[in-house]
Amino acid sequence: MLSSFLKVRFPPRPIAHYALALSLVLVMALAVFAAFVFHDTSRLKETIAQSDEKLARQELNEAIALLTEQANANALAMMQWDEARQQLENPTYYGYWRNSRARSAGVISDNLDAVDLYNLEGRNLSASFAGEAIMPVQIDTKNLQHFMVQENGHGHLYYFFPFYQNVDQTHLLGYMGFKSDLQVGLVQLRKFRYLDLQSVRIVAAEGLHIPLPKIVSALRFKTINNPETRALENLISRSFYEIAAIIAVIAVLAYLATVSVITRPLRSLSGHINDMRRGKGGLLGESYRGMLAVTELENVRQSLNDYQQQLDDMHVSLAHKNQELWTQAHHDPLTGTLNRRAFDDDWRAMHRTNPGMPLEVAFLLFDCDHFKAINDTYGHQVGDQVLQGLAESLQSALRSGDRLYRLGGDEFATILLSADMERARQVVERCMEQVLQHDFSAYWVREPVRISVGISALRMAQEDDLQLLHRQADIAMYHAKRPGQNKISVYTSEMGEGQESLVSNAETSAVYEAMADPDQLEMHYQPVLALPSLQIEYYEALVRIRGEHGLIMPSSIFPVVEFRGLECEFDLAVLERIRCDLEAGLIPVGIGVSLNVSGPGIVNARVTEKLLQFAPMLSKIKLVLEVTETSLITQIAHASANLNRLRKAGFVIALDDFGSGYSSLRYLAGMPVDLVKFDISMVRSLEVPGRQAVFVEDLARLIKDAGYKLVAEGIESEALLDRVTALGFSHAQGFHIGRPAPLAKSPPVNQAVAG
Amino acid sequence: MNKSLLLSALAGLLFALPSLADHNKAVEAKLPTGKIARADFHKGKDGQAAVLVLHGFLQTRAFPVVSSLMEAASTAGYTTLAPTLSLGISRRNKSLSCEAMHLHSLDEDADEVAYWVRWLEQKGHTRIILVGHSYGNVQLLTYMGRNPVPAVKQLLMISLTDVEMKQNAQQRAQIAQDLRDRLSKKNHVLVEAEFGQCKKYVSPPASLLSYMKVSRNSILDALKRIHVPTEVIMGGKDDRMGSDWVEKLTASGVAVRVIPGASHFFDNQYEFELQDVLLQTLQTLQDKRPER
Repeated sequence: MLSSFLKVRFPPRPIAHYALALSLVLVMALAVFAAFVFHDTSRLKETIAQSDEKLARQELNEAIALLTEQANANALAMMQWDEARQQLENPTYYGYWRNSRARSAGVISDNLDAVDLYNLEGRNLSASFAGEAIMPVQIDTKNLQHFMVQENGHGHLYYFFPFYQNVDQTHLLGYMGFKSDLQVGLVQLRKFRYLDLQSVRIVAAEGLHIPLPKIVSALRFKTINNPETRALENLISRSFYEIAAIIAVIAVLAYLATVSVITRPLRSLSGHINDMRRGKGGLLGESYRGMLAVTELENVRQSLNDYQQQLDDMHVSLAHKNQELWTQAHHDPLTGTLNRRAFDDDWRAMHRTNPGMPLEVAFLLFDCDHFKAINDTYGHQVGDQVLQGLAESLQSALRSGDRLYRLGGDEFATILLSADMERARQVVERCMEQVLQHDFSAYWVREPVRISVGISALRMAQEDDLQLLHRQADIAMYHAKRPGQNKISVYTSEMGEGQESLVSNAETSAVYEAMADPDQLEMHYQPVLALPSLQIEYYEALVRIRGEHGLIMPSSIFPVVEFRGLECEFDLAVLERIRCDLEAGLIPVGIGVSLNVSGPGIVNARVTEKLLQFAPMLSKIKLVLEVTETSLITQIAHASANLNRLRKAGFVIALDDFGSGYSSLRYLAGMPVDLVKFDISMVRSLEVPGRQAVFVEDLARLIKDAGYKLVAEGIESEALLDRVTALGFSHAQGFHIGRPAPLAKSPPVNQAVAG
Repeated sequence: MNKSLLLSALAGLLFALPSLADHNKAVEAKLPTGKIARADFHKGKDGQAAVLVLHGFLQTRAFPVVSSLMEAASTAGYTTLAPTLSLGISRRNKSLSCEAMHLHSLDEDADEVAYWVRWLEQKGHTRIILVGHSYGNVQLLTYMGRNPVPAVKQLLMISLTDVEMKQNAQQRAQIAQDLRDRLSKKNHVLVEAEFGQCKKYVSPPASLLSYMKVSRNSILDALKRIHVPTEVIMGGKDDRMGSDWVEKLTASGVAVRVIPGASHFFDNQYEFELQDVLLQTLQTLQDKRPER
């Protein structure tokens, strides 16, 4: 039972309740103690009262005995008193003697009410003679006895003695009697310690003779309130009340001390712990308690403070770590710019700051031109430095509130809020200018580092428009990278139509389907004239894909191919298609074909082997293999080996888009190429008089003088054709000469040119 | 009277017999009045005179002067007897207070003196010297005024005084007359009076009247009528009777010896001087009249 009770667990209570309960238990214990004390005191009082009554009775017995002794003494005195004997011998004047002498002569006690003498017959001498007898008139001489009678409410003692003549009591003269008031006698007799004289009452009937031995039993009396008992009782009571008061004071003080020393500090500690649990904890000062302190609580406080301090330190450390992690998570470790995660978070934060409010934003996407080539040429370390330089330049060009993000690789971005297109352009131009001004030669990069920028903008951008903006900027950026563009491109819906395949599932599917089935590819051939004969020497095969909604143009194909890393596969498919066209005899006899191979394809064994499959045709037609300088730069050694191998096989190697990339003559000198195709941007610069035209002219002559043949792209006018012809270009290509088109039997040729 | 007196004497003798065996014991005697009187008796040497010493007014034989005289005489070989007058109370052994009822009379006192003188005479003493102190001398004089037995040979009165009331003669006469009137009317109611040294003396008229018969002059007259040698011994400082008392005594023909410095009670060293005077007086009597 006890063990099961001990296992009971009561719900927690405030310590003040326990202190109060302890005080109540103390008070109850005190009450029980008081009850015991009162009970014992009452019992003691009762015992003392019984003892007092017994002692009072004993006192009364002793007093009666003393009164009897006094009576005996009086009797003896009387017998020796000459005048008394005189009365027995001659009672002539007994009345005078009895009334005037007997009690005033000083012989006997003066506390007697009456004294009378009796003759030998027991007759009162007063009765024998004149006078009033207040004593019995006649006494029984044969049976003399002392007794008490109640008269008028008072107890009177009557003593009767024989009266002898001589000392030896041989000669009886008569008798004598004394009467005295019992209570007066008792009062005069002595002081009583236990007997209350005022309370002595006789219970016998009036006039009834009570023999002396039975007097006490016929008396009713009370005991004196024993002063010692009363003092003891008062002492016990006072001691009890003092103890009770002391205990009460101690209990109250203990309760207050408990509240002050334990409860309140404990409550403060508890509250402090709750605050800590809610994360609002701080260091708890000594003010949590009063003047007195409990070591254990103080230890708890110090432990809590230590814990809180450690927690704060940990919080600070965690905050630092979080900050660091956040910084790491939101910053690009290489460039120090914000990263893609920060980009996404900021975008969401913008909309969270203004929930439901559409934002007018401009999305600027920066991409380093030919960064891969730089990376491969100078190594990753330099590439990283280039990226850092780009980031530095872009950051310095942006407004203080604009944030620069590195979305990946060499792609940076920023979002301009409430910025119109004009302003966005200004920012972009400033960025490009900063990039141009940056000294990349410090990293031993000799080529100019440039960026292309794609801009997309929305007046009412919602939170989920980020991908759209990014995609549009991406499209614009790829658009900007196209040869002949000025590196800055603002997304337009038309641009989107051609570039949607970049991310369009339909275009992606088409690309994959085309690679799986080259018949899906449709080759368009653009004639390339030999100068100055103006004869078509070969066609440049340009790929298209037949899609559900029409032809898919290269601008939509190659982003997907490059994005997906499908260059080699796609090259193989295109080569297969061209081979089929050749086998089908679509190419007129004697006219060559120019094949475009991607950078990765140049160094790809399968592509090389595919190209070598064209070797047997070389005896019949001219095959030109166009590679971009970027592709060559990337893996120039491997590429050079393959190109040399193909040159030996009979292929003519053309360097495509010269001038759109690095256009480094050092590269050109090291490349196994036969033709150099000037990029359309360079060719068109010839139409505008100026330094660039002069430069292009000088460059053309320089390259021609170096033994290369030159191809001018983008010939869209007769004047330009003449100009390039005059400059010594060996070939020309452009819309003026002929647009790309599928071949049936003979490719269409610009009549003017052809003519 | 004589017959009853004789019977009383025989009875007293009979009553006193047991005490005679003891030479220095108290003796009791039943007086003719029926009262029992007590006395100290010392049997002296044979041939020596007997000395009866009587105490003063209301006193007993235990009074110091009496005891002293008794002791001196006894020691000298005299037979001594010091009775205590009963004053109407058998076996009275203490002095009687003034406020007590005084039922005795001067005549009864003289009767008891006569009784004890006879008592000595009956014991064979033929030479009896009566010695009184203070008012006992008046009672002795009263006895001597009657028919004293021949054996009484000398009277020695020490500090002789009366018990005159404080009133003057006229007042005393009026009181005496009042007492007589009371007696004539058989009014025996007790009377309270200032008498002697007592401010409240309670007594029946007859008793008081008996004492009021005694006056200073009656004392001097009585002294003149005494036939035996009489000597008065007074203390030099005893002024109870006035300064001319010794002269008056001397004028009355009695030998007066004054012991200078002594008081009425001859206390202190005068007790022994008094004893010497007593013994001298006794010796003189012894020398003059040998016992035979």
